[in-house]
Amino acid sequence: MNFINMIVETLGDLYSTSGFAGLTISSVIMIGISLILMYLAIKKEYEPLLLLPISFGMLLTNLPLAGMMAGPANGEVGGILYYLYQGVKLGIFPPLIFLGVGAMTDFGPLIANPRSILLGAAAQFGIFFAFLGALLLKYVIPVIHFTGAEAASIGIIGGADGPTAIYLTSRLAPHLLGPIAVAAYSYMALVPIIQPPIMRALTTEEERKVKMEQLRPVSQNEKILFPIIVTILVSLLLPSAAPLVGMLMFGNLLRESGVVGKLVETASNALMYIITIFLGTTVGATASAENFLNPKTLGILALGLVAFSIGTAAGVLFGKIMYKLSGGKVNPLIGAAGVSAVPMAARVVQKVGKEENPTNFLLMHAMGPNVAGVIGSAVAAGVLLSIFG
Amino acid sequence: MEEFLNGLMVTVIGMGVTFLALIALSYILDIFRILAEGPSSKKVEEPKQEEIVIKEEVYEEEIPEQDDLELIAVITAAIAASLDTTTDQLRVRSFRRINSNTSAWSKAGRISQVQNTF
Repeated sequence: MNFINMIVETLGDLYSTSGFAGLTISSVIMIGISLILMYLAIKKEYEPLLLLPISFGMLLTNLPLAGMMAGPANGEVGGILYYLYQGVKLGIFPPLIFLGVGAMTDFGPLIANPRSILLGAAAQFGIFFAFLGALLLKYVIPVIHFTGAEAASIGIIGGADGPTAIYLTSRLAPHLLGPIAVAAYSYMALVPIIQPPIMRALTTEEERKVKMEQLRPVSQNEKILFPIIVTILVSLLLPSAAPLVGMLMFGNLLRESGVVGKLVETASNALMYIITIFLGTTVGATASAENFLNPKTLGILALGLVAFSIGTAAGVLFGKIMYKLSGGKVNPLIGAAGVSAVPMAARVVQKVGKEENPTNFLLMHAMGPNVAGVIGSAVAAGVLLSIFG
Repeated sequence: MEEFLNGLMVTVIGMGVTFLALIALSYILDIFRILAEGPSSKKVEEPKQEEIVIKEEVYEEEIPEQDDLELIAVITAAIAASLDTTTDQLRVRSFRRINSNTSAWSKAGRISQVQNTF
């Protein structure tokens, strides 16, 4: 009899140290959400490169007692995700991703058509519209109350630029990293669904049919000078945008210089994917139940969609102004690409333009505002950082 | 209400700085364009017609005449590409075959050597 009691007691102890005993309703719900996101990443291929690591990080952090995200305490070392997270917390990973993005980006279309840069600025209005919306939301729904810093982090979803959103949020409102990253990457994956109705609603058939003049060829000297000048200009104007813009342009200079092929290859492949794994899992790991299962998450998801839609609309409307001013030479559709989300938004422009006129090729024209949008959202993030940081 | 006004101020400043940065950039790129197109616009003023006499060595000797036009176009394009100019800057004045002095044996030898290298 004594022996059986011992077994029961030991099994009881074992159970109490297992994760099952630590499971709570909220952690079960979070595990469920992470599984749904994994499904979206694998089966629907919604930005799988990021959504898959994010969702798995979310799963790991919500497994009770595993302590993957726990900091060092009582002389014990912290969890692995905690240490990797320092790269996000200290603002190291997003600029490194930008290094790789710069090494992959061709700014030629933008250099060839400088006015298209303005579309990349106009589309950033979505950021500030969502920011205002987040500030005012408490008057509509009293339970959801965002501070200025939180509102700024939500607004930056409208920049449609993952690293920028993560960078700003890690600085201003790290507890919102999970929902903001999920919203930003989900909506970026949904760009082909969100944008076309807005683009069609705001333009006439005639405007959508506009064919644009072929872009002039850009010399290598111009392409080399461009990143250097942008870095100097933006960093002097807005030092807080220097980490993102500086690394983006450094990557681009590596690419355009044509003398450091190995560095370009490393920055745009190996380094970027290594950082993507670290960034994704640890951003996902910030989505603990208390941070995520919160009415704020719903507010963030809704405002993120608003930010994307208004950004698209502002870009297209500014495109219409340029269409009028240029005497019908600019197709207003390319304004929609100003939200960044490179290169998805430019592809959407190409597709919508082609529907009206199968011989119209807007892709390269849309790449100009598209890459300008990356610079624009980094500048907007810099402004928000210097005001709220 | 004050919070909203603050937010509005952030919006105005934010959009203002974003536009300012990108407008400045766009004007700097205009200077790029002027610098880049400066020499080429001079080119338009005084288009120098490079007249190149082409002497092509052709092995096959029995080519129907109408093929020559196509051949001239191809050769002109190739020369234009190698001189980094456009075909309208070039004029092919003369295009004639040169009967090579080499014997059939050395020709055959050369061909087999070229083929062996691949």
